[in-house]
Amino acid sequence: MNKRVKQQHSETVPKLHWTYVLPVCLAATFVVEVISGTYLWLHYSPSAYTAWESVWHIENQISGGQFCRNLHHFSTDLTIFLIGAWLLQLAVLSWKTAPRKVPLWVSLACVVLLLALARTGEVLPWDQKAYSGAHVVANIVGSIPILGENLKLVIMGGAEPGHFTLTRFTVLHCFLLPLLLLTATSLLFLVKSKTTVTQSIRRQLPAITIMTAVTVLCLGMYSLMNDTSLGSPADQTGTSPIARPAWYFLPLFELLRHVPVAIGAYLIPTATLILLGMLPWIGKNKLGRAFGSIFAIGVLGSACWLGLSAYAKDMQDIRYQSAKVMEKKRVERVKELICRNGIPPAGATEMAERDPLLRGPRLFAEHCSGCHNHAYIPAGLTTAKTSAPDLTQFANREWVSAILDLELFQSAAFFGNTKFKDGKMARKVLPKISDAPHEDLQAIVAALSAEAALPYQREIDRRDEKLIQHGKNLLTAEYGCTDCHQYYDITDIDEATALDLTGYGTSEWLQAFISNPKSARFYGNKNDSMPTFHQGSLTTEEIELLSAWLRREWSGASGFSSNADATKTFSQTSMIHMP
Amino acid sequence: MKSKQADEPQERRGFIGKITGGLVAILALFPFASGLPALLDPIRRKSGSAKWMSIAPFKSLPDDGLPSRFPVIANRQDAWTTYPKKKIGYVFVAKEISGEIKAYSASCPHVGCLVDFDKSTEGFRCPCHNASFAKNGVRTGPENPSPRDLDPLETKVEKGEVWVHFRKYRLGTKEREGIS
Repeated sequence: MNKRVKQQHSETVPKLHWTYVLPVCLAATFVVEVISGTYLWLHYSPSAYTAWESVWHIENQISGGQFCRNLHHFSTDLTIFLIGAWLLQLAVLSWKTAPRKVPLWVSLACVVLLLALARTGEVLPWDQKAYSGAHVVANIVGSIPILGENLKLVIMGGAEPGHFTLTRFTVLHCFLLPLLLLTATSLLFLVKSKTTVTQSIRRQLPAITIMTAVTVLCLGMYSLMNDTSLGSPADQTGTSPIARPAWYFLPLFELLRHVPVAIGAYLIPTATLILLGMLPWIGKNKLGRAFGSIFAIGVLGSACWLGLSAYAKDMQDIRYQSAKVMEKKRVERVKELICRNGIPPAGATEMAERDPLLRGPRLFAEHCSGCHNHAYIPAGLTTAKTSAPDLTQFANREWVSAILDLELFQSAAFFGNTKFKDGKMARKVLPKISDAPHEDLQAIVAALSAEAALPYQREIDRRDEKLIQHGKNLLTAEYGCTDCHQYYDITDIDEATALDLTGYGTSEWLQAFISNPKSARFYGNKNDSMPTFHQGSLTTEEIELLSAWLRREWSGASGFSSNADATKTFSQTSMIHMP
Repeated sequence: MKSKQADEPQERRGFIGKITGGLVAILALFPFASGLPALLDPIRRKSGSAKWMSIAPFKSLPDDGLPSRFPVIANRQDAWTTYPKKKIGYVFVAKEISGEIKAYSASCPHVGCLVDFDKSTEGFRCPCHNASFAKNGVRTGPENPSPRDLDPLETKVEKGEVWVHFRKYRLGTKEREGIS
């Protein structure tokens, strides 16, 4: 009797079939997202000069903040992976029976909403990548005919990404989209009566608990072992060359390389969704079901293929890889600066703009690396054929001795590709210097390099005071440098035919030189192809920063000798600030 | 008689119910409507950022005929913050061998990433979706995602300064449609 009741009971309440594993895991990851997201929301501040800063604070200074962000980030990855797997499962299963309408539509709505949630969430940290992403998304929305431009303005809260982009995206990400997602999933309860669902859940509670526990444990373990990486703060002047979406958007990203925006961003995704949504009708006969299955698997397959080919292209793109190396160095430097001085009220972007080590290499890569090389700039961002001196150790003793070596002077690394290669310096002066006794050469090098008063040579300059004085005498007397070069008041500026050696390489000298190399003080009419930067493509402040970077005048130790030193200093200083 | 008595209040209840329902709906719409002007405010603000901007002294342009990137500097307004004298964008300016000044917007017409000028290939390249352009802004390559050539900007030289009419175009479309 008892047995019979049990049997009857089990017939009315559906058993938890293996096909429900994925939805249960999905629910678990989504709950993790909501909870970790709420914790993050407590500490996040949406505005152009607090967003990155608050995320940095969460990652580095709030107890357990990094773990929360990891959990939130990796559960997003897992959710999107699982919903993809769920679609694949639906596709395979619809080979035999067409998918039912409401569950299928809810699943598709979830795919769209989850992707929208991920996309809006990606913008919130406001690092270089996030900012570029916001730009690109805005422009894709703006390309919609007629309505596009206004829609873009409403979503972005302005013509350019800024404060209101962050406030609006926060509302979408933290409130509106989750609300819509919950509404969509609750539609499932309309199909099955509430009691059946609760009964079914109660009966399968052990299995569900185990699956949830496994999912959450895996997420927790992964988040303990891996950290999310916040990029450098957005400079808010445009997109960065490292602009790439998260892995789940790479297929669309790659698609946009091949087809027009209207087709790649709207037509193909919409048509695919509509076709998938029509599977319950298409799947009424065998042929339709076969088509549905193949179509759905084909969509996922081509998405994978597109994503992988985007990845493969990036791996081979030397410019992109170099830009990534630069970004990594920037992140390190930003960390060091914050650990030393904290974040100023104007925000990290302003801080980064005023730091020679952050701004200098960028300015160099943009304005100088067309002709000059510098070891700090990765090869992919400099020109293959240099046509001006390598500036890696500008004005230090090694650099000066290289300039004074005839062979090096005429090599491509220095003046080999300029008209100075066979100039007076190479023809008359350098052969004489090469024949000079070693001690004389050493003294001249020390004297010339000391003119620059480089901060990192301060010690040896002080030590070699006598040698430097000797070198100065040699410069003016025996070697006759001052016959052509102006040097203090020894040569008249009107008589000087070569560049000024007074304070050669000091900040003042270097800034004046970069501003206008064509002035009489420097190359005058002998200038080869060094452009005038004054009031042109570089502002006075930028010239100051560039000069400070070339002279290695910045606070802290990073980017200096070896990377190991820099990280050591970083960990030491960070200990002071960490609670 | 009995049934009529029972019906009357029911009808009245139905009528009253409809009215209250309608009122509630209007009341519920009210807060939604009240926020609309604020929501749509960005549309009101979009107008007029196209301007003649002084870019660089004429003398500072390189003579090799190749374009170089110049920042456009102006006060930038972001909601409540005014950034004085900030970069608000970039333009490429070239002094051609003929002496003519040409300028192009630095935003790729595809989806608006900033393009680079590569001196070794003498062409522009977009780091996002690999659109490429010749030094005169014309699209190159067999597979180019950009729907049109780089957007040219008007230029003039006044008192030794190069001026560029800095404006924005709608992106991702074949036709060039100014949006500021």
